[in-house]
Amino acid sequence: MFKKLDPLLHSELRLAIMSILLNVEEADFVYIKTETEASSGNLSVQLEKLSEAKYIEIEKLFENKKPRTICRITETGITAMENYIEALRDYIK
Amino acid sequence: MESNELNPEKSLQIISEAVRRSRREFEKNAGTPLIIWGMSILLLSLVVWFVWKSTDNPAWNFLWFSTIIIWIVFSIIDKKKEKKVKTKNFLGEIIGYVWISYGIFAIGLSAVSCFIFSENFNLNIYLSSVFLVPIIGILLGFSAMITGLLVKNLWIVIAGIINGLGSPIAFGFLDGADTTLLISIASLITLLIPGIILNLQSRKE
Repeated sequence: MFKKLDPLLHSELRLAIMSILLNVEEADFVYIKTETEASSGNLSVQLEKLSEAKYIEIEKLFENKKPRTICRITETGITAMENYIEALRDYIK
Repeated sequence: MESNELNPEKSLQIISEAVRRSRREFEKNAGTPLIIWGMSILLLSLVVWFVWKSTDNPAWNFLWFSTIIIWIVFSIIDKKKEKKVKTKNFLGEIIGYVWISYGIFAIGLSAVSCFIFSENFNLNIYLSSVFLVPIIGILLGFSAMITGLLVKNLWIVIAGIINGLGSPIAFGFLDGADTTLLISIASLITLLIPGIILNLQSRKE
C-alpha cells in the first residue's frame, strides 16, 4: 500500500519553493521567483497557501524604503518534506 | 513554473535541482573571503618578517594585532553585503563560525602570550612570537581542513593537513624572524590558493 502524498506539496511550484527553502536558512521573494521562474501573482498565491499550512513563515519588511519579503521553512514544513520524500521512495521502489 | 500535478520522478527531479542550485549559489564567490584574508596575512607576515629581521627587534610582532582592524573592516563590508543577499545559506554560516572561532583563538592566544613567558619584556615578546607560530599554524590547518570538508574540496583538506602537521615540524628547522615565514607559507597554501581555486571552479560551472 502506497503512502498518500501530501497534496499541498504534490504540485510543481509549491514543491520547488519548499525544496529551495529546505536548503537555505531564508530566501527572499525575488530569489524564489528567479529560481522557480514563476509569475509574481502565482508565486504569491502558492506562498500564501504554504504559509496558511504553517509550512513556511513569511516576513515582510522595508529596506531602504523598498518592500522585501523573506520566507523561511518551519519545523512543520521540514517534517512535511521528510514525510513527502519518504512517501516518494515507496512509489519509486 | 505553474502549479501542476506531478509524478514521483518529476518530484525527485525538482528536489535534487533545488539542492544543486543552492550549492551553486553558495559556491558563487565563496573563495573571495579566503583570497582577501590570504593576501592580507601573506603581506602582513612578510612585513613582520622583514622589519623583525632588519631591526632584530621582535616587538614588531605587535603588527599582528592590526588583523583586528582588518577583521573589523571586513565585518562592516560583509554586513553591508548581507543586506543585499537574497538568500542565507547554512553552509556559509557554519564556515563563518569556524573562522570566527579561529580568529578568537589566534588573537586571544597572541594577546595572552605577551605576558606569560617571562618578566623581561623583550624576551617575552621573542618567545611568544616564536612559540605561537606552530600553534597558529595548527589552528589554521584545523580550520582550513573543516572548511575543505564542508565545501567538499580535496585541495583545501590536503592543504589544511599539510599546514596543521607541517607547521610544528618545519618550526624545528627555523629560528627567530624566519619562523614568521611559516605563516606566509600557511596563508598561501590554506587561504590564497584555495580561494582562487574555489572562485575559478564556481565560474566554470
